[in-house]
Amino acid sequence: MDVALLAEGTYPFHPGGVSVWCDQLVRGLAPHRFTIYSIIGGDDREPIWDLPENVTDVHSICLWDNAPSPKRPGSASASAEIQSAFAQLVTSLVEPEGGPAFFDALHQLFVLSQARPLNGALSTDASLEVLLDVMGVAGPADRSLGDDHRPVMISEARLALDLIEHQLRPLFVPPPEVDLCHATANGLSILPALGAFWARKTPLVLSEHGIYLRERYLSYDAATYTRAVRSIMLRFFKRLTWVGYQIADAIAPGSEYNRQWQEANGGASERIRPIYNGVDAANFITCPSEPDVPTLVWLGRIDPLKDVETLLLAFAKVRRSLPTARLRIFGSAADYNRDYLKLCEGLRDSLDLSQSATFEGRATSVVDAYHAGHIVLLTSISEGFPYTLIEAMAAGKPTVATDVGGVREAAGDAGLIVPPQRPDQIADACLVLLGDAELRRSIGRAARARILSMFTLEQSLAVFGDLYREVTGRISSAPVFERNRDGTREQLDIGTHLAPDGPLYAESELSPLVGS
Amino acid sequence: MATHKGKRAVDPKPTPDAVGLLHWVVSDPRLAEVCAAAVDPLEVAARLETFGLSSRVAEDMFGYRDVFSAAHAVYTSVPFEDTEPPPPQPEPMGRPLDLLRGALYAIPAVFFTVVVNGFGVPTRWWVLLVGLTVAWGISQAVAVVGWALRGRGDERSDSLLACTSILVTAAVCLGVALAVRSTLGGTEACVFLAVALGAYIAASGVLLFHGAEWLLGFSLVPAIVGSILGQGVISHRAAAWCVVASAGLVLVAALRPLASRRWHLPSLRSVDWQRAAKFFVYGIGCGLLTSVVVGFGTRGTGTGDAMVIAVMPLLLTLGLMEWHLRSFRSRATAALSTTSDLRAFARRVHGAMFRSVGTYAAALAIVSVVALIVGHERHAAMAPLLLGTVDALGICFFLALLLASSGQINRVLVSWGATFAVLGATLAITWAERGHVTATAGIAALLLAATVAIVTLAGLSRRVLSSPLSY
Repeated sequence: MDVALLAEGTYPFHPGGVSVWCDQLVRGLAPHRFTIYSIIGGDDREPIWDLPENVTDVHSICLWDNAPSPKRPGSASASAEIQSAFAQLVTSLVEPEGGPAFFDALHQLFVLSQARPLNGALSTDASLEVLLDVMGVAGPADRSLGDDHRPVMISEARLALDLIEHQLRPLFVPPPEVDLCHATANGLSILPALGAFWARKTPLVLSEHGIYLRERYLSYDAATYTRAVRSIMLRFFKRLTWVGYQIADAIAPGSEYNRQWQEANGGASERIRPIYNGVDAANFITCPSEPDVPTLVWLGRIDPLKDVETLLLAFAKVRRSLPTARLRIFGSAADYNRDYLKLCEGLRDSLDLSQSATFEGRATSVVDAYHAGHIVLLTSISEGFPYTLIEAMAAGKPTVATDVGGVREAAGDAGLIVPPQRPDQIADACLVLLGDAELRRSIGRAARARILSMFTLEQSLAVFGDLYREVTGRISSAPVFERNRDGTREQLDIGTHLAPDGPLYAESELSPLVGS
Repeated sequence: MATHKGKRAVDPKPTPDAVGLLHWVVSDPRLAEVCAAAVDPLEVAARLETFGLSSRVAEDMFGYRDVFSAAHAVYTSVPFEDTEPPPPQPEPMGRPLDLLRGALYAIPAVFFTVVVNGFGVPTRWWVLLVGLTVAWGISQAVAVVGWALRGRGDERSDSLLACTSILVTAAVCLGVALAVRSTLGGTEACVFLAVALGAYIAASGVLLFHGAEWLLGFSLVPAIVGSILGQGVISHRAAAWCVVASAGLVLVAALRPLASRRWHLPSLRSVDWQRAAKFFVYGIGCGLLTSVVVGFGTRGTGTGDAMVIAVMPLLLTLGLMEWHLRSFRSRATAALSTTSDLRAFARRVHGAMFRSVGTYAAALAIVSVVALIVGHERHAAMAPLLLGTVDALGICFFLALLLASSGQINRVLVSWGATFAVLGATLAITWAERGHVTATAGIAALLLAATVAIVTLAGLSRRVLSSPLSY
């Protein structure tokens, strides 16, 4: 089977949990051939992962490359079509039931992009004017702005146009010619899958580790973006992720907890099937010895979602009780998080922890990194089913983790769970574990046993293998479907929709999905 | 408890504790602030989760079905309160330092004649053309590449870029000068002078790119002192050696990143090469136009000194050009964040453009009048036409700079094409009619071409720069 694995900001150009998962997936499902579509910021890069032989190709889709110049749409009528589709797209963002119109506008843009390059073609004064009008009425959903709000400025519309135009670029790539699309996240990753869906009815499996929309809500914060920009962009992401849930044949959140987010944004519950990440336990041996000084270990991407600030504040409190304690932070920051790393280093220094808390970069051996401490910490404010946690558990380490996403499902009663953003409680949990060697050992044993019984790589891969067969089998027995309002699918007339010699993208190819 | 039908009653779901929930939210000012600024109930749900209110906690603590129903209660109860991030800062206004930058770049034109006179070099008109044109083109290309690399956080390529810029400029100047000499004649000294001029301009461009104005100024001190003293206190030859010393210092200063030994091969994309090529052509155009005026002007005035005086208004106002470019962009970007109507924005930009171009043109005219007075004795017949042409070129360059800095380099190149077409056609017609082109006819042809360029560029600028997408 040929599979297009669609990723954003992860495999094979960046480290991190999702990249680990992708690597495990393509290696573990080796009979299948994978083509990677990787959406990246703007840098031309070389893959940092060794790609297995069953990865047949890697397409990097740069969101922010310096496109030479806006491409001319070709003719006045083509330009009018592009403007019309874009106007429909942004107008649908403020319509109460705008989901179908949004979906239809994406379809129009996709069809237009297959005839001519659209990168940059949406950046016009006309687009800006439409966006200004729309943003003028796009306040908070169902919430009064009050009377004294200021009008939307051109700079805000300009920023929103820039963001939307660049975020749409993955829609304009030639659609993958594969048997199955597997998106590793909702949001931008589903855009190439949409193309494949319209062009060939290619089925889609949608995995979500963290919840894409939830993380957009957290990253588009009021300290960085104005109300007008946040309102329009978050509406855009809400619509886009809704579309992802509508077209996916199977939705696989990384945890049961995250299922509720998908349902809250239009995911049909019968198509949602949580699939936990798994660990190759053979790679995570236990180690009976511990460091000489009380040591905490944290491993992950340096990213605001991982809340390294709370980690440092908690460690500062631990140091007040245990002055010899150390904190070893393993992980690197992506280019766009360099400022966050500096902020964290500044906080560490201001807490007088520069000698005891060290940023050690990406770990050369994650197992050794886990064993470098007495306890492994996870302080995230948003998670799917974190590798840091299950790997540390597999290595027999006691853990203290924040109660977000699938953490509770992963840890069960084999780890300490604390609320997020509560440094005092995190510190207290650490002090309890650091002060009781027997408790550490018993939790470590229970943690490893839990992983071996519930979260192995083999189990995870087997479920995905079955899901691939199930989804493609379902499709192959009835090649072309349209989904009805109630979520059922009905067969369409192949002749009118995928005529080999006819137009590839008939306007009536897909009725808009109903209900947002 | 039993119902009247005898079945056990199910305990009713506890009433959600909205007061308790809101109290919990406002007890943490950070949470209260983000909930008040939320634009969607789901955003509140995301925020509540990050503060520990999962669905389980929402049910256990406050009796809500899940985090979403709790979030909805918070969203509808808490009044919206906008939290504005700091407004975007407009680009900085022009500074007096910009004047200095322009002067530092332009002053060496004076030194050119000091060297020629001091060493008695039998110079030819094409020396300035080759050195200036080649260096201008390559400097533009290198600057574009340099800024692109810096935009990606790559400052490690500076050493290689500086070295390459100077060496390539010198090499290209050498090749072109040798080719020109074989066609038009000249001495080896002319070739050497063209190469030295090109290398110097490239080196000073490198220093300005690195923001090392003070270093460039310091390096030029010997030349400035020598040129002044050369008016009677020391010999012309000694003054020329002072200029050579300055040129050497500038070269050494420009190559100082080499001492860091931080060699790094930049990773350039095809788009970088394309942009560099376009800016190279743009720079070549600027250099050629300036060289044409210098070439005909020298023939008309007969002396290098007089020509330098004629070109001085343009050179001395290069800094003013940069100042007003920055000020224009600052006003335009300020209008972006304070205007909510596209037509009002266009009006403000037109006003800013008129102000900047008008101020620059007025300053150029004043300096030209001064130059006219200073050069009156030597080239009275030629000066008004020559200065008018130089002024037209100045305005033309300023408009081109406005467009190029707004990402409209393609339009500038089209204008350059039209300009050279007009210039070439006019010169060809003159040649066909008279069998030769006099200096006055050449300058007049250039004035006509520059006027066409001004009209074209002004029209384009007015249209393109009124679009917010140009910033």
